Amino acid sequence: MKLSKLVIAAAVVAAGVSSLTTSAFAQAKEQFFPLLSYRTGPYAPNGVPWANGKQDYIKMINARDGGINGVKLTFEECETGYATDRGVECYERLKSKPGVALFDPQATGITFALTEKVPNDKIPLITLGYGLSVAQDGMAFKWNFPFMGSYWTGADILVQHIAKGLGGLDKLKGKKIALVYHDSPFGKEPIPLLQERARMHGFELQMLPVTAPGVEQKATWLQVRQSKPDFVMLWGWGVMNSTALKEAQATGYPRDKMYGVWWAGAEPDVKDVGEGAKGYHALALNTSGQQPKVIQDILKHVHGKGQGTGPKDEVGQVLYTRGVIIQMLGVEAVRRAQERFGKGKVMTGEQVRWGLENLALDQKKLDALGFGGVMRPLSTSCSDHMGSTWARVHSWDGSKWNFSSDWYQADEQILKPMIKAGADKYLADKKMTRRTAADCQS
Amino acid sequence: MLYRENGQFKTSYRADQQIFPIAQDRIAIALLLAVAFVAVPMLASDYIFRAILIPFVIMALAALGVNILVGYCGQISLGSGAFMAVGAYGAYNFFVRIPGLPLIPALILGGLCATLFGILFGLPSLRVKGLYLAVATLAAQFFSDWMFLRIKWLTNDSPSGSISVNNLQVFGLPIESATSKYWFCLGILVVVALLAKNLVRGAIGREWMAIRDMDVAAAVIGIRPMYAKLSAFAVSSFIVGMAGALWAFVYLGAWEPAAFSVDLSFKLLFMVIIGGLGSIMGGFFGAAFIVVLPIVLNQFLPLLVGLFGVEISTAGVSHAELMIFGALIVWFLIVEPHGLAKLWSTAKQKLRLWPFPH
Amino acid sequence: MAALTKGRAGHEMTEIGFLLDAGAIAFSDVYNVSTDTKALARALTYAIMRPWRQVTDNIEYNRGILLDAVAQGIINRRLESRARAGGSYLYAGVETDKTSRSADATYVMLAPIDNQWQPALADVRGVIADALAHAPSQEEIDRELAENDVIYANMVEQSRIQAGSKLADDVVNAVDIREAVASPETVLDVFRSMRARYTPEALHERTKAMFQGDVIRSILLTPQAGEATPEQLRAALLVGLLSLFFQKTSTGRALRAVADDHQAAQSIGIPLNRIWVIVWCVAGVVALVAGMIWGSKLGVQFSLTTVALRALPVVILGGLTSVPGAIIGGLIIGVGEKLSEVYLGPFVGGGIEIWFAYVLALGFLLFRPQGLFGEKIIDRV
Repeated sequence: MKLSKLVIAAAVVAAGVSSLTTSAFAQAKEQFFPLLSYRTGPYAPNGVPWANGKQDYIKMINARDGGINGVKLTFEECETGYATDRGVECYERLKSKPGVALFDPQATGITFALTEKVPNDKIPLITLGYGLSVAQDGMAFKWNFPFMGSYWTGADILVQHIAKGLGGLDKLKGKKIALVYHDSPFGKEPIPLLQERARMHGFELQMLPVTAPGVEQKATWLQVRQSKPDFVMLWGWGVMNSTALKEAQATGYPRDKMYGVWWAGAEPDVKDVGEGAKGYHALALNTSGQQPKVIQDILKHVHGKGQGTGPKDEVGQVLYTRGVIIQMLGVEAVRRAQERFGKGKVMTGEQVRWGLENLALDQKKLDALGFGGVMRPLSTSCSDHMGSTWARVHSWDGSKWNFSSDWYQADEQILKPMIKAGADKYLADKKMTRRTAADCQS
Repeated sequence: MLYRENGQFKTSYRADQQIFPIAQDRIAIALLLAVAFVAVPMLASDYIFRAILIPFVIMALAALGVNILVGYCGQISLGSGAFMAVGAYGAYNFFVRIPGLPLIPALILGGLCATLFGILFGLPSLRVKGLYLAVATLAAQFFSDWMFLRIKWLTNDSPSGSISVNNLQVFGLPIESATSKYWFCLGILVVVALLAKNLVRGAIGREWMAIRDMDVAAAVIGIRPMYAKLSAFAVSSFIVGMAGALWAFVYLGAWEPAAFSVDLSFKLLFMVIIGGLGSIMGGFFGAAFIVVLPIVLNQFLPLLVGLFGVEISTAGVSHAELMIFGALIVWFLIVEPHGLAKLWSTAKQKLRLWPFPH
Repeated sequence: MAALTKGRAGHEMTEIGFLLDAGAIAFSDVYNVSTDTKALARALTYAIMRPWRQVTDNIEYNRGILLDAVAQGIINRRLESRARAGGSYLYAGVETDKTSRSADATYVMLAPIDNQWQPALADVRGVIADALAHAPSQEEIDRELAENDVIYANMVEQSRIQAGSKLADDVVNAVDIREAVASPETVLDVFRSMRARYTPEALHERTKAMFQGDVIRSILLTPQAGEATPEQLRAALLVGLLSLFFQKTSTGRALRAVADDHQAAQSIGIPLNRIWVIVWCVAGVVALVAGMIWGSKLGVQFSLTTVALRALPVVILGGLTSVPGAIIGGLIIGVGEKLSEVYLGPFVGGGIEIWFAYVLALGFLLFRPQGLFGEKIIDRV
């Protein structure tokens, strides 16, 4: 290649690299929310409404309220593709931006990686309904907030619901439950709890892993047809869910005996299958639909002005609403932190963490925020970073989701010792110690 | 004019056979090392370290290993991700199960695990070559994916399958800050690169190159193909395994088997192809290209496209990354099949004459 | 086979013993037909049939028949030269006929050399497929035309010595059967006046029309019963066109030549660029079809690349040079994967289908590198 071309190429590379050394030391005037999301890859159908919900809520707060007590909110999206190394790279890039509040990795694998890093960088991690199950123990995991549920609580509630349908926990004896799970940390999380419950109640647990990303499930469902379990629990994400329902339809397994986790119970999973998924149940952490006041506000202030991130009919869907809830919790945490550390000021990561730890969203407050009827009240504390362990079951009737159960609460009797044991093991492995009570006041 | 070796006479065989016989080269390398070890830590920000330099150094090490196998010995391998995984998990198991084991021996033991795995899955190379060998190594890749998901003992019975390490220290110095991580990886890279360069300059390296060029002729002149191919697999897997252990321990910190998927294997192969097959330099160029390009595109592309008034979403950038990446690979292979290293050596050749025309 | 003849004096010309020594395996004479199965030939005839339709027997229609005659002549000549060059059949020929006002058929007759009728049939079908794919060259056409010209001119010359009663008979026939009967001079005139119409394109069209039909019927004559079954015959006739394309047509051979050695292929005149365009197009179309079939059941996502990567072990299992090998390899791996997951998976915790295909291919590589149907390339080091 000619020398001149070499020189031009070198100049381009230099220009590119120099654009990265922009560490402008801007004084934080805005609260920054980094949004790790995935809009590509096999998990994109579920990741996109989630990310859109978060973005729309931020835009609405800016448009409707002018920010949090006058502090405007900014955000930047970073594509992770559900891959751990890209998630880590996004985290490293965005964590040093001024005014960074918290991270929501949207992926269990990335959560595991970031859990190592956030104590050093002092930025809290919200993992609503996913991530490390033992992180519920706030005394061990200072910087993790698995709001509203983890995979253990979800599995627990599913077992309770199945038992209720049979007439009691003792009726589970002798039944066979198959767990079709995504072969990754996300899918494997519920196994310890399900094994514990199986031991307690005497049902047989058959584990059927599905290799990521989950497009090939023929063999799995052949095994299901062969062993004829009484119930199938679906622990999938992304394209695995719709494939599972299509395969269930193809092998003729009754869909109303299938129960999915709250990440396997949203519109993208059942839309393709439509009528074929009729009767399929899944856990629900929140309602869906465009009636709640907050959704109406978003439609008015954001989509009404043409600022919507995604299509309008996506607004109010299950995962969209969940994204809105996650962002709301973050915003409320910042607001709570401002109450203590200075109204109208930009909060640091540590201060936001305190806010997350001291959230008290009772029904009145939720109604005022516009979340009446969307979720249950939530209140966190130093030792409890989950805030609420309530969930319901909803079922697909061919065109929409309908609630088919009351609110359940996870059984703390079973979970507490498991969580404590797991957290202790984690701390021992990392050679860290539990927090002291004094630390809770900071 | 500056780059001539006029007046540099060698008076001993040792001097004649050194890696950098031209004094300007030696000065350049010394300067480069000084910049790498001293200047860069002073100038680079934390983000540059964590996102660019550390991955670059580790990937350069891995590309070095893959280059030995693919570039010097001509055995196509699509299982490099598996070797990295075995190295990482091997090092993890030694690190965690033997309390008090220092970090460097753990890494070396991880590399040895990868060596054994590499020799095992390199056995097909004695029977097949080319595309067939690529499929055989793919078998290694997918088997290792499954192995680390299914065999609990390998992940220390972690319930979720995701494992992590921390509190790394070398000779009592903790490896926590970005700079210390960078120095640690860079040190290992320099040592291993030196060893590798000497290997390929020696008899075994020539045996590898002979096998690559025409294995029938190599067998005819007395080179034992089994020994040569398996040793290439062994050395390559060792280096790649160590790189895998570094990737997991130093860069990721916490990882699951999906971190070493077939995408990583392809990435390593592309690094070697773009950088230049059969040259130690090539690994560095390729790694730099592949590590830096997505980040540059991520920053650059929205600005560039914004000049035309078009908004591009993160998904769009991600897709554009793939497209540009692929197009560049194709372009490179057409314009300069011997990779960036060949460009570099052509530049050096021209430098020898410059500013004179001939 | 040998026949005993008697000379003019009425004595036999040789002894049976001498003939046996010379290698005869069966004997016949005037009164006895040989029934030795070793001497009876096999014959395979298949016909592509169209329903018989009444046609207007005018000059234009007959021009069409003349075009058909040349098209058939070209194919027959190709079949003949294929046989002479060492094909797997003794004789093969193509003929169109409108039989007894019940069928309009194109008959293909062939006699395999030994009992291997399937390769013979495949060879003949290959030549026909080639003719259907490419228009004939001008040289071939000119040759046929020259030959036909001689035949018709010869008939004109001979007509002068034909009995007048024959000519009268012809006239009566014409009136009787209401079909056109032409004198030799007319035939020659019509033929010569339409020479310009014998273009490669026109002949290609007629050839294609000749081999179009609703029904294929076939008869295989074997010396002994049980040599072949109707199912085998049916299968042999229906062997996929793609496979035929690759094995027997000139384009298919060109593709395989290029796969073998680019430089050698180029040196014998195969246009490499065109071949590569064809190859990529065919590969793309086949992959498209596969994707559509998958997508119709389970939806299409980009993550199907992990499924598509499975094509490599399939191809290795089946053999890199063989299309039937790819089909069978695909079936083996597809079915084997799922079965292994269902039956072997539970013993090791499940999830083995991701590596089963590759490890199977690996095993094959160690013991049979050319796959099930590939060509053995001896390159041992």
